[in-house]
Amino acid sequence: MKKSNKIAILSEHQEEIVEIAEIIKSITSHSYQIYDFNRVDECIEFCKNRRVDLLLAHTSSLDIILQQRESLPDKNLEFILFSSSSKEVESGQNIFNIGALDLFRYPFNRDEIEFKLNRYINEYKNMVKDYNRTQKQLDRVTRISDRQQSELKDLNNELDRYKHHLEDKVEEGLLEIKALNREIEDTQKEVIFTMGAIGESRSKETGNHVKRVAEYSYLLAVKYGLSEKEAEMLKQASPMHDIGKVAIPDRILNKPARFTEDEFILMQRHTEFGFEMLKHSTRELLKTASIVAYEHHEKWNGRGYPRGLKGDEIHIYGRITAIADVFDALGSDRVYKKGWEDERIFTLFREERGEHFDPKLVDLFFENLEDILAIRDRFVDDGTE
Amino acid sequence: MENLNITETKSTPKVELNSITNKHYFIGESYPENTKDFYAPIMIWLKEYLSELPSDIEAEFNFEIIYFNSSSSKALMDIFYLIDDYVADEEKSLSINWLYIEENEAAEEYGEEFAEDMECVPFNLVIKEEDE
Ligand SMILES: [Fe+2]
Ligand SMILES: [Fe+2]
Repeated sequence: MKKSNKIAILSEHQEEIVEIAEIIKSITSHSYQIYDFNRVDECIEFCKNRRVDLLLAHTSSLDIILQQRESLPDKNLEFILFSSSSKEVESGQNIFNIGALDLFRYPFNRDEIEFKLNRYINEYKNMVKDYNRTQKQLDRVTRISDRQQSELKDLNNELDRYKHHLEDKVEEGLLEIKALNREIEDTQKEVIFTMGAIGESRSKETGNHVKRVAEYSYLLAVKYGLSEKEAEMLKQASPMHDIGKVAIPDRILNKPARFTEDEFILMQRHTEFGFEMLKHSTRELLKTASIVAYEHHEKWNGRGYPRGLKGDEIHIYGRITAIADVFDALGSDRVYKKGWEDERIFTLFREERGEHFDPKLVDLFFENLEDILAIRDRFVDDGTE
Repeated sequence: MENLNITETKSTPKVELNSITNKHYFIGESYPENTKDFYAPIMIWLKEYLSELPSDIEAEFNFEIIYFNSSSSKALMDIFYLIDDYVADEEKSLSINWLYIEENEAAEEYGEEFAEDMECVPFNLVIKEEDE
């Protein structure tokens, strides 16, 4: 069942109302309910309290309608004007600008009124309904969107806080890792140094011997053109060159007299013992140390031990450590001998260029003699030991 | 008429429109890339279904939309208005259930807002038991 459409008719002239009402009542396609008023205030009062779909008003009430429409519950209440003579309204154009849907002129045309009322009631009511709904939708969508945006903002803030917290944690973690790394590195250096020192102390070398060998090796490695990483590796590994001596019995190691042939052969094996001790490690540093231990007594001319390697068959680490070790050993005082004068050492080095030592390294040694002597001065033995 | 089933994706809800049981479901999240494309076939189906549905047959529309974007909220309101109109103009026996989990305050408030706009159709806010 369709709801009937409520139409209010307002005119001072009852006969006009009757005429229009007759026409409207005769419309069968829609059902209209008519409320008629002679007084404008009564009409407005009615519209305030009841739902009215359309207002038909005489043009003479136009001003009041426009004034009062704002105060109605339905601010958009549609109205159609009618006039009793064409003189009363100058032109229809003005009427539409004012907001009226239409103007019915006297004499009234039944078909026109039926057609227009039906159309307005249907189309216009639907349009208004759609319009109102669209407004509501817009309103809701905006509010929903606002709410979601503020939720998003909150989430973002939280995320930001979390991110900062995380960054702090990472920073803390990094510092801790750095500290740990430093400790590991320090420990490693100390262990290696101690290992080297053990080897040397057994052969009555001083602690500073391994430090100097380390520095000479580093310097020569860099000058030779090895990478910073390799040079640093060699610096740390070269102190272990005599680690194999831990496997030589004290009575031989510390023998004041000359070695027998067998003892000499055993002494030479400290290179192999050192290599055996270190070779199983997968650590690059210990691998480097194993090479140094194995090859630091090889000679460029192939007359060294243990394998009699020749030229660049000998690993560069071995060649460098050889020259560094010999230079330091010759120059140092020992219980059983006084250290050599520099000139005597240099003469020997020139003679051994391409014999005991890699010629290129001998050249580098002399080219950088100043730096090498500075290292010797820096790590001078105090003689007390 | 044929049922309309749309499988759930990351950004679109599962839709099950059933002209035999007359129970209909929208479940999941709704933030499609193109909201109109997603909801247009649904509107077409609903219009045909509602116009054919006899007034004495009860039909139930269940919405359990956890998250939706603004254009989806407009599309949902279009559906609600359509249903409301069929109740208002043709007195069909329709109802809408808006399901949400109790903790989801936003969903509850959205449901309340939608309910306000309905003139004739019962729009029920239903707290859903968490099943897991
Ligand atoms: Fe040695
Ligand atoms: Fe040595």
